[in-house]
Amino acid sequence: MCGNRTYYNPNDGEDSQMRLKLRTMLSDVQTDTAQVESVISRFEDRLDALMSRLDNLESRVSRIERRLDI
Amino acid sequence: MPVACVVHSYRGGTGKSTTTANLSVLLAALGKRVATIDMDITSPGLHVVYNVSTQNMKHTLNDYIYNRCSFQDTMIDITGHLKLPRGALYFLGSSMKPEEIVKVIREGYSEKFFRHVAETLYRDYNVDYVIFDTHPGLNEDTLLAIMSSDVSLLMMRMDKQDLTGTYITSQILKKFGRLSYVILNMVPPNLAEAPDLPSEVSKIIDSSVIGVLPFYNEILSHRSRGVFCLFHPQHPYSSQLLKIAKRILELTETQEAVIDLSNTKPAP
Repeated sequence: MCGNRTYYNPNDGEDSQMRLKLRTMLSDVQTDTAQVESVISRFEDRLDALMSRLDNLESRVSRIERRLDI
Repeated sequence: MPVACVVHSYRGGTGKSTTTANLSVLLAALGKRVATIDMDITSPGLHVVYNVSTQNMKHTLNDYIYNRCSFQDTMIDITGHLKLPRGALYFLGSSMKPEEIVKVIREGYSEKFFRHVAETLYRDYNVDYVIFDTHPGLNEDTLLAIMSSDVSLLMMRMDKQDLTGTYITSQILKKFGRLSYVILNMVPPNLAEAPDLPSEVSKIIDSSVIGVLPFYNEILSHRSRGVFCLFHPQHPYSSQLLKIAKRILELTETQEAVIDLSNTKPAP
């Protein structure tokens, strides 16, 4: 033992209040996976649009560079 | 008390340990006294990034949890080892011995650990920032680390699996009343250049994106052999992380992100 602290004490009720709270809250969570999937799917579409805009921009820059012989 | 930051992600392989090591060095370079704790107890590896040999880790976090040594025995001052010109950096590593890992999984540890570590680091080491590098996923110990910290940094890759997991994680953290910030890591270079990316992700995750780190081959080639930004201080990765470190200082020093733990109540 080093000092008067004790870290491992799983039977100490007072010590595990936050753990109990975490367990309770996690057990009570109701996740709507269909809603999550729909949100992510919409976001993926926005990302695709963003990447497509960037690709278009890149190809336009390349075209201009070719024309200007850069 | 020091500002307690937890670096977390839903999935593994998002770069938590690499980011933790580099951020800690940059915060020290900004003159702060920093301590990092490897709380990824089931798969520790932060010591590898710091290039600290297990032979130099006479005692580990596991010994401390089970009262086999004092706190001072476990803390390693790596300021000189990393040749940091400013600030200070302390490190508390976890054991890689399977028997020790299994013991922690089986027996757990006290939730008072986090508070005690922060208090001791402040009292005995005058530390400004303590960073907990956690195990990925929504496990109880990691959530405990998040609940006991002031700021959560969620690392996320831009793939659909991680995006979905991070979205769910951020919803959970909100229920717990925790403030989290997102760092996008290993972002495809073309996407990283999109100016709208941080705001688009912030909208969906409902947490501020405080940094975008593109994928760099150089990081992969470095193979965790030391803290990258010390080897390549001029590399764009180091510059981006420095911006993130400064942003963390701004957020915490203005108290914007710091939550008083004594008032912590989960959101309804």
